[in-house]
Amino acid sequence: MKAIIIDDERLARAELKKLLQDFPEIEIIDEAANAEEGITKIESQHPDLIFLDIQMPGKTGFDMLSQLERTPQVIFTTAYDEFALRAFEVNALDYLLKPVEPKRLADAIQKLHFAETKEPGSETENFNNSILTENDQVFVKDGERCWFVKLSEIRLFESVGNYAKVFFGNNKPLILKSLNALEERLDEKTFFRANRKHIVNLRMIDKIEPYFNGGLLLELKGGEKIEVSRRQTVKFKEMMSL
Amino acid sequence: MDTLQLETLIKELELKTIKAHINPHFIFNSLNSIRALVEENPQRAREAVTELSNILRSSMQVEKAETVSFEKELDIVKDYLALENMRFEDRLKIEYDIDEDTLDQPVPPMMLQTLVENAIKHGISKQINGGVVKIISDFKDHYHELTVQNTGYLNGYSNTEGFGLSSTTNRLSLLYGDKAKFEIKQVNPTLVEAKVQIPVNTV
Repeated sequence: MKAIIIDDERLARAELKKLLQDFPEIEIIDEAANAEEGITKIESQHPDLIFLDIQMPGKTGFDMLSQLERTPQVIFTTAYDEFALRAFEVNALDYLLKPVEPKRLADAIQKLHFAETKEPGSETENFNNSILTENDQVFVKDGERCWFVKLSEIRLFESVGNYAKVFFGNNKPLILKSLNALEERLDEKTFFRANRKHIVNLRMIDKIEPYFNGGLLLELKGGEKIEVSRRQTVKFKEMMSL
Repeated sequence: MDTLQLETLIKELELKTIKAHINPHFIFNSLNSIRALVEENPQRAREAVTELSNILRSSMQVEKAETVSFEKELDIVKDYLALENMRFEDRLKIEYDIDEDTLDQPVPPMMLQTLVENAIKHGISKQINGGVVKIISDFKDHYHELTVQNTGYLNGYSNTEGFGLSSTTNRLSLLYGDKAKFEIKQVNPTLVEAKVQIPVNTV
């Protein structure tokens, strides 16, 4: 598993690297000293995992995550930060307190999902086109709540001005992304632009009914009813080869 | 309230104020850095343990309404800065401009340390490339003036907000009534200055 350590203190990074020597399944491929450096390195090197310090100069760890297109798995670190600790607890996020206890590090690593084995060919494919697939996760923050959501769990994106409402589970938080931007990055085999305001996860469709003017009405697993415009209905039928 | 209740209350308050003067983020970060240094630079690690121990001890003496010599306070501040240098390395630069004659002036313990800690917390640690902290001690009119300057911005926290700073105001008025002054402001677009003026002890 490839990992990057992000912490503004050199000694803290060194200390964590030393502890990770006991976990040969984790390979530290790089380090970053602030959020900007972190974003650059994550987007160019695609680590599976990052160790992320919450308190850094400039952007905080949470801000950095919100900016990433797709987030790797994250283990947060902090020396002491009341607000962060509360956010971690409330949102069941994995975190380590510095100085890190080896046993707690072992527990956190145990909980990680060791990646679906990638066939040698597909690795370059994945990196070259940055289309997000169902197994990718995104970081979503809404006020005090935050989540790591697998794309496969998202039923629906609904446009709200410059934002998009993300429907998953019982939640509907907003993210600062336009529907057009999302459409470019989402795999069109799974995520379908039903109309100007909605992108639908095709696997979350419960019912399909014909609708006015040659359109369709989709009912999703969460009960949402989404109209498919006539133009998009043509595409839809092609895709489903009906 | 009977004596027992009163005693318990006093002990609770003492503990609260001690806790308030100890910055856990600083302590745990320092311990983490020291652990890293144990193998990388054992000599420095040993020194750092002593520095941290001095600071903890000094924190516990804060509420005793006593004063310490400025020289002693400056030693504690230097210990504190040595530990912060472990964290920030070359992102933190310190400058001193100390009038020798101020060294035996009595000052409230951990007051200068609080100002320096704030300078680092709100100034230096917020800048990606760090910055400079300057400590100035001199006599002005009938005052002993302690000034801490740091590169950075005063956004978000005004005059005396933040626990450390409001405690500074309280302690000054407890010890000196309205004869002491405390002010913090942005002196130019990139420089913040905190200044304490204590009436001179002419003994």
